[in-house]
Amino acid sequence: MHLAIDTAEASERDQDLVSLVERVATGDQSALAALYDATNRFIYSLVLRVLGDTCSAEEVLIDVYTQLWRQAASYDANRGAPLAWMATIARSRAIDRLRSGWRDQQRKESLDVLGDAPANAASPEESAAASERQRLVREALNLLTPEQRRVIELAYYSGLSHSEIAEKLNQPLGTVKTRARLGMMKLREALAPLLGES
Amino acid sequence: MKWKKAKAIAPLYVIGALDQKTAHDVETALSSASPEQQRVFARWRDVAALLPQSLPLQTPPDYLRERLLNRIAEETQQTPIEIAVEESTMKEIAERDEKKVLPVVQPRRAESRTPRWLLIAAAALLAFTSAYLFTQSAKLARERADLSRERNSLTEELAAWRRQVDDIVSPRTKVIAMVGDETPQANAKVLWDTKEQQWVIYIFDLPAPPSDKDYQLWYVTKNAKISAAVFRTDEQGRTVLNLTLPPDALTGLAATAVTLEPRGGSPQPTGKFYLKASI
Repeated sequence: MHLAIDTAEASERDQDLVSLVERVATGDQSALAALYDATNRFIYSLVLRVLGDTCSAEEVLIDVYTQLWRQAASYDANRGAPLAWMATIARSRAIDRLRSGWRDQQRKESLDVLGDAPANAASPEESAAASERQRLVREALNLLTPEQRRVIELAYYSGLSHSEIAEKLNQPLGTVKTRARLGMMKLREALAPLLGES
Repeated sequence: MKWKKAKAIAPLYVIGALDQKTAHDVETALSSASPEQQRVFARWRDVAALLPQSLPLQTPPDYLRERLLNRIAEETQQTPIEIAVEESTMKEIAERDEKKVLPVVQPRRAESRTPRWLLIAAAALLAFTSAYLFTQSAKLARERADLSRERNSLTEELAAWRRQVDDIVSPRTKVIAMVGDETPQANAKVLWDTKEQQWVIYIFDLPAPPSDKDYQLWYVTKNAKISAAVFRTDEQGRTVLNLTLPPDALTGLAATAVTLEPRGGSPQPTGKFYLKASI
């Protein structure tokens, strides 16, 4: 099942981000500022979701963009979208912070915990585009069974391995692996247009 | 790990669900994967990166932007050594992240921004600076020891002066003024501790005696003249005498006087009075 979405918009946005990352790689501070303006809310939302704490999320956000500044030259556009690259760095830093025991974990473990929070967009256009992407990905996630979603959430946002998830959910390891794999395959299929695969 | 298996668990790998060993095996397989195989993983990474798109967007505080840009601006002004240290740390992080999921190639900026010769020059400068600072530190330690000794000496001197001031203002202290006779400008003050029967005599403007002469201080009682001290004055005509009164001097003590005597003093005064005072 595919969702109806505008792939051209996603592609154009990726191209803009690639250009910014390339400029950042040359030491262009204004490009970093622009990259921050274009992506900070997405990155911050991810980091905040992982950490569940604004104070640590703010620190990690700064660290993420500092790391992007230093490593922009290592980005290879042929090996993934720029936002995926940034999200990977952000998640990695946030999970590291989480595992360092910096704070007592009181975080929530559902994708819906912030579901009713207002979306604060920088501009009406961005707000509309973000809301649309949010709606599409949510619809894709709703295609998953609750068990599949749960396993993916625990791995991606809580940094748990499938063994740890199996222990936490008191489920066989094989079941957890299957749920994660099937869930991701469903997502990929549903989000194919966003991925340029339609 | 064979490519077929790596491909099968790619969805788990990109969301971080694999255990450490399996993830490492995947990374090893990826390191020798073809560009096409790399793209398979890149696609799964893109799927995983869409997950946070479902989150409601949260706006970070405005000051974070300024803080970030300030940090970057400061970083561009760092010394080569600071940059090398920080980039070394970031390189470790990059290598660690690359092993996880990042589609990265070797950082280029670190190599170009910190030439080897610059690091060697910086190390040499650091060594020279360290040696210089070590020498300066030793010199400062010596000066500190000298100052400490001087401070202790001054402290002792100050304590002595305080004791003398205390003695002067004490009710048990008598002050006796001696005046010049042969030398009118000469004068002296006798501080007499009547409890301990001790005298401290400050003598001023009494000319230094000839080389074959000495001054001699006398306790003058009703029955005798008792030698108290033989002394000389310095070029400014000054000296200080500390004396303990003998018992026989206390009986009928009527006056004290200074005469000029042959070198080493005399059993009885033979010269004229240079200073004198009635008790």
